[in-house]
Amino acid sequence: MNIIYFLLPLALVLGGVFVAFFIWATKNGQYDDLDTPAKRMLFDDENHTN
Amino acid sequence: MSTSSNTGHLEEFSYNDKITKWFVGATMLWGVVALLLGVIIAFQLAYWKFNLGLEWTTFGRLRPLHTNAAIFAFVGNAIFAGVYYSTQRLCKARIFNDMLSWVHFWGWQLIIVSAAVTLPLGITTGKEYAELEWPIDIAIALIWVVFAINFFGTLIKRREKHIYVALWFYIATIVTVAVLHIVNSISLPVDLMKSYPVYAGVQDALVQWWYGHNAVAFFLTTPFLGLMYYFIPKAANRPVYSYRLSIIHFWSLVFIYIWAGPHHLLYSAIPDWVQTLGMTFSVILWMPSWGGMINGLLTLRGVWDKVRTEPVLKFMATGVTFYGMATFEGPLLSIKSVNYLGHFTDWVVGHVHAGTIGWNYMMTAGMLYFLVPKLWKTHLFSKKLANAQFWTATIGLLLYMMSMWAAGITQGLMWRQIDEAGRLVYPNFIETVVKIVPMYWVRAFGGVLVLLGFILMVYNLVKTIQFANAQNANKEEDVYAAAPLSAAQDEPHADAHRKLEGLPMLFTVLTLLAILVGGIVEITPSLLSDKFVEKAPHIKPYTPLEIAGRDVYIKEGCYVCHSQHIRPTASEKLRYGDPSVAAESVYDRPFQWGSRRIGPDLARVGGKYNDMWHYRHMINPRDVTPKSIMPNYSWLTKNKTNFKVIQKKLKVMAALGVPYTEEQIANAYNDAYKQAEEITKGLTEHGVPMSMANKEIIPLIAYLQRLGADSAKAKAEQAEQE
Amino acid sequence: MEIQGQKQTLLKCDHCEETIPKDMEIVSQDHVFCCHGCKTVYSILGSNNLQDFYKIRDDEGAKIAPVNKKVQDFSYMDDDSFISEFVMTKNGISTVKFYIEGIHCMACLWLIEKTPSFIQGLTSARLNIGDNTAVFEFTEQTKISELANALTRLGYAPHPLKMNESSYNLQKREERTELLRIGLAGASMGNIMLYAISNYAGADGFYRILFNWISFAIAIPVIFYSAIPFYKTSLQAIRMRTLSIDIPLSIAMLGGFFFSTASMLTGGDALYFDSITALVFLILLSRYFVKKATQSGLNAKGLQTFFTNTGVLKEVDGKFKSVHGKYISQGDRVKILSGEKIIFDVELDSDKAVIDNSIITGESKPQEVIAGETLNAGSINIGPEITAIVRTIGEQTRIGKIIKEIEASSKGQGKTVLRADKIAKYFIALVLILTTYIGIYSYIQYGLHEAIARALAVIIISCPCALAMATPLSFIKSLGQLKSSGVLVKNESVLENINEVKHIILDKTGTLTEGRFEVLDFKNMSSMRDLEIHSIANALEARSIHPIALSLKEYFNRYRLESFSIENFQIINGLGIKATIDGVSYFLGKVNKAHRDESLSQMTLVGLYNEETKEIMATYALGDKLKDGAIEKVEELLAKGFSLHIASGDNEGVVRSLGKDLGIKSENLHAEQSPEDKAHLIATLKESGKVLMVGDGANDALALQKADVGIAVGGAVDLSLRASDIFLSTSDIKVISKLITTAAETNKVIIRNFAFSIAYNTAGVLLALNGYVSPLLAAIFMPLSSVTVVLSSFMGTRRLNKCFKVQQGDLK
Repeated sequence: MNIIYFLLPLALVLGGVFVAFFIWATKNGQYDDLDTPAKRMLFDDENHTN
Repeated sequence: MSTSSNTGHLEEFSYNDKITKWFVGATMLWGVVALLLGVIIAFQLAYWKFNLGLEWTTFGRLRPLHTNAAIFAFVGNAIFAGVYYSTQRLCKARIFNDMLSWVHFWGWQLIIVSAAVTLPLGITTGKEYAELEWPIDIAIALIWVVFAINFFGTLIKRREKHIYVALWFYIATIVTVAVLHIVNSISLPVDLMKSYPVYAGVQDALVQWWYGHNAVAFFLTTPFLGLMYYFIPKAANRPVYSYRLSIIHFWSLVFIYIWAGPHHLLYSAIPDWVQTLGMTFSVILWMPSWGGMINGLLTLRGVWDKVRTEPVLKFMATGVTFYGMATFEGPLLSIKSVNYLGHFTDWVVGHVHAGTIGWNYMMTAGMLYFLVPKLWKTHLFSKKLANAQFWTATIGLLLYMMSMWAAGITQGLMWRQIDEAGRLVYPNFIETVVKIVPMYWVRAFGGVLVLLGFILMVYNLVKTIQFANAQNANKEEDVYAAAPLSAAQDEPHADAHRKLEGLPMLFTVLTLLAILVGGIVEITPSLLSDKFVEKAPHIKPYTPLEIAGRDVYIKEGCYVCHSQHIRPTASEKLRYGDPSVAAESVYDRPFQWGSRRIGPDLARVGGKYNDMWHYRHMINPRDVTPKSIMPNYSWLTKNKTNFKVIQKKLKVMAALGVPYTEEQIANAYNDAYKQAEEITKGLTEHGVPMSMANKEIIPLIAYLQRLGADSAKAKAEQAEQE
Repeated sequence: MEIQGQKQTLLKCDHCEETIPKDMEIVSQDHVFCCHGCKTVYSILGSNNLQDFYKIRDDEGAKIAPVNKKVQDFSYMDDDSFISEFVMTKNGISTVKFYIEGIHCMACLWLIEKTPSFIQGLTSARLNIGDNTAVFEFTEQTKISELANALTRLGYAPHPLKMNESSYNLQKREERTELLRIGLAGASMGNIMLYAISNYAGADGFYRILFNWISFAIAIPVIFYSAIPFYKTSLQAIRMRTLSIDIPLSIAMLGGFFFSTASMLTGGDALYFDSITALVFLILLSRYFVKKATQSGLNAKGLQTFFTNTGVLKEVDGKFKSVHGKYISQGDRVKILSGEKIIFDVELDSDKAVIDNSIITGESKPQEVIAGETLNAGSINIGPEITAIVRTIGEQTRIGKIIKEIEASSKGQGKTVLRADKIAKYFIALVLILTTYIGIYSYIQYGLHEAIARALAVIIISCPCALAMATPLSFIKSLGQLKSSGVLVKNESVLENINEVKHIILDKTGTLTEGRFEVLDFKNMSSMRDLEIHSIANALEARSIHPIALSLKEYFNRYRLESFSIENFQIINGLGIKATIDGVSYFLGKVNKAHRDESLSQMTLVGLYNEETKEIMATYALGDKLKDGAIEKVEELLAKGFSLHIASGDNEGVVRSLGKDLGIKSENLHAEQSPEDKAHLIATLKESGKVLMVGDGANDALALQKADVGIAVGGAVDLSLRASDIFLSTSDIKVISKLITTAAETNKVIIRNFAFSIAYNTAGVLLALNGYVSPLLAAIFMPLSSVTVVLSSFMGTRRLNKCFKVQQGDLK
């Protein structure tokens, strides 16, 4: 059952990566405003070719 | 597109919708192929004659093609179409690099074609849902890296500061699938067409199902949750129900998902605590999944009347509901006592298709009905056709699920039924198979309806595209304008401008890859060294001929119908013998425990029937078991065994830690041929010509007779001593 | 657009879809508008091809309020003292942050964020729809006043918010660290659970040790980063020699951590990394939600923004220049345009002025002021442009003093919350004693491991977080639901006081009545058409600035009237005005006794006479209309057994007739009450029971603050919320009875939660004392109790849910 010595560090690394993403996201201010993004994504930009 | 200096006013840019159109086309094409394959193999189970007796059309080889086509070709292309369309719009930026996009597109289609060629030819690794051979695995890894660069490049170049939750789901998908694929495909190649995985036996089982479950998790679910969070609000023109809940949903899903693998191996030879761990986390997984479902469905509050009329919303609402159903059935199935009934039966197949057809197929259909009119700037050809598809596909799916539930539970109960005298009520395996054959017909018919629905959709969409092309032939893309991410970053420290801001993301991806490679290089040797592999003295490595036989077993895909693992329960002990022990499969590279028992378990079939029985059974199974649904394998008596390559195989096995001595490897060719002749001599009494000695059927018989033989011998010797 | 109303055809304004009676609309290029504001917005959108605005608005089915065109001079935003404080510039891009009034739907979000495409120099606009603040970035050359003007033209009122480097980032960084702490605690709890379950499920030998070490490693960031707030509050509590709930928590966390590490090193088996990380995560999470729920209602802005938030025209060597309010000192001469708010106590310099002094008197009837008299800060100049000398500014002004006093006596924590804390304190003391006792006792009896295990079990299971969460949580749901139905409650103690209220004092203007002095009844006794009568009266009143004239003109401008030129215009003091139109001379003014109609007794009556024939042609009755639903509401409150009073600044007659309509006893009617009198009335009533006062947020501020429970209807949000405890954003007072039921029901939920948590804690401690409960069971039991308390608060009671059944506000 020694595959654990491979899978475990892998799971920890993967977990670590996502914790790093979480820290970067919070520091980068992604979660400052959680009300507007849901509405802002609904607006399509309109065409400027004309 | 031109991007003026970032202090200037608005930057002009346009989206690369051409690539999305091609991916949409690929999704439609491979969707038909995958579903057609599904229908064929469904009929093959219902009536063995549909295997046509040909090597390339038998169930054993077509089933892996169906699973790979459905997951990587159909769902894969759907994900790429959705991701390319939504990422550019969420980031208000063009895709990172057009050339890379085309490399990604044509590379992926090439991989699919290579799979469509190699799998019917029997070139497979024998690991479920990862059957593609090592050259294709490398190609997949490379193309996935191309996709990652293209995606993260767009993210870094974005003009919208906030990264919407759908993009987070795409990030999780890309990062985790890369790790999963690479880890599960580590193998030592024998030659261009054959390789043996680094792991063996119980290790291979854990890694395989860690990959297996998370491929479902991070390839079939998280990207589609991302698509759900983008397309449902867009189609319903309503903000998502609770954006805060979607963020919590993402982060909780990402942290718990990775460990649910072991629920595929309950009651197997893996340690008990790993099983309990897998079970507990699968049940915990139920909450984030339903969090996602509730968030998706409640987004439609206030527009339910539109769901009635709009095909896009109708498909997506059904998709999310089936997602809820499948992610409730999954945790239920991973509870040990329920799993004891469900494992190896068709109930699992029902659960799988509730997820794949219910969630992926329906969401993809909804997405395509949304994308095609938008991409080609026209309206849908006919809503009536879309509704027709909806009803055929839904009824087809319901038929599929219901029949599989019925078949699964019937067979599961029949297997384990013991009368008061302690004897099996249905000792003969075929009795349980015959009982559920009608269910296979119902499932096949359900599959036809699902395929029919899909073809209706393809027709509908193609007509829409033709109508559009005729209508507005303007080719150049629309131009949009958006302000660049403001140069006055509000980070208090250094005046980070965009490139610097993107660094942490790039940095994490690179470190991940570095650690991964470092990990493999450093850990694999320790895996190979014997000190870790716990051994039982009486288990010996396979003889050269048996290795060749095992490869025939893998080539023909016997593992898709036969399992090689006996569970520690009363009924299985009576039917198959002692429960399998981890040590018994220590030299199995790849492990062949299997996940479905359409045929009986073969873990201890060695010595149970004589060689002639096997010979006649292979040529015409009905000859020995009257109502068997197993296809004929007549070409095994025609194809020649490649004796020369056996030595190379032994060398690779030795490199992977199997204790073959030098001279065993040296005269592998002679030993194999001698053993083949011995077996054929035994068969000549029944009229089998000596020329059969070099045919593939002989090594296969040798391998089958060896399954469980060591333990049987050891048990017999022990009985004598007492 | 035309819709058939009941009496006369009603038109819908193309911009805000407000219904306007026929022939009162403003027409331009075959579009109909209810006011000039809507017309201008419509044309701006048209010219910048932003018509999608209406598509998005219709999709969302949102309703826009009519655009109230307030005259605003923003030039003060361009002088550098303003820029230094409110604008942040970095590498060529300056950023300013506005609180924007008038945002209420996705279409506004779309429009605000589209501004860069049609306002010169603006590079980006990002609106946070949660707290209606927007951050604008623009190139250096653009003037902020231009931006502010553009926003006002679109119908939004921008208020600049402090934006300098430190305060802006400090607040953001603090929020982010809080989120980070919770995220890390959650992540490590999830992962430690992985290894904990493996060990419980029987992993042994090398795996067990490996998993213990990994759990230890993952627990470190939780104990030494995420749990810092608990240690901080405990240290503060210890420094102030009081007991706080965080002390046992910190002991449980640190103790649990070090004990587990010790037992791990000595090969022991009792590890509690999973319990302590779960503890940290759950408590951080529940505190985060409590903070979010209570904070959303209030946006507390400092006192000075009330005064200095607008630009003022100051006379500088003969010319009037716009200067920010902050830089005005005593003795400056200022010019106040018509419609502008006076933000200082000033002495009138020009000969006459007409002001709306409702902020002080509460009466919206226009007030005439002659040179030399003082004008209070907060009143609005509704007459023509005036110049005045600044006497007192800021806190010294009369309204300033009132606000100062209100803010000083900010209400402390409510009684039940105090009661909960007090019980919690005793409980903590008891827990600490018990833990030490059980520690020593089992150390003697069973040795170190058992002692530590039992002590830890006791301290974890007895953590009174259920108790601490019981009260605030039951308030969260009620506050949330009240908020979503337009009732902002300052803090939870308010709901408790409502339950003990005996007297209810209702202010007239703005609460029971519309609060606007308007034409209520028009009788046409002559043979002419109504329109002609209106045109004549309008022509007569054109130049007069008499308060009544202003109300009449406001009534008239809803009609398309012909304009007549008038000759020999005469004002007869105290009676009315006379003038001749096309040779016929008319008199508009006081109605003599004969024509007085008894039914309209309490309203002021203005009659239009034909001067030659002396016969009356038409009469206008002006007064303050009763709000719809006011009568049933009052009856309901009376039925509930409250003693109802009406206190108003209006004259005796009006108050008496209102009392008669509403069926309130005559001795409970108090007329001509100044704010100070009202406060005095409350003081007297307070002796015989708690007093609830419902009044206009602005002028009744003093009285509202004195009352046990002050409910402000209308008036500026920030001022009234400082003075009163509850602010009704919807002006319909039907909500008051809903408030009273909610208060009663919430109290029931609190008692239920209390009972439950005390039962849970006592049972838990008893079980833990004699060793039945292992720390793990304790760790699972403890969050379970909190969960049940949360569930019981959110389930509420049947009656509570019934009264919110109508609009189920979703508490996101």
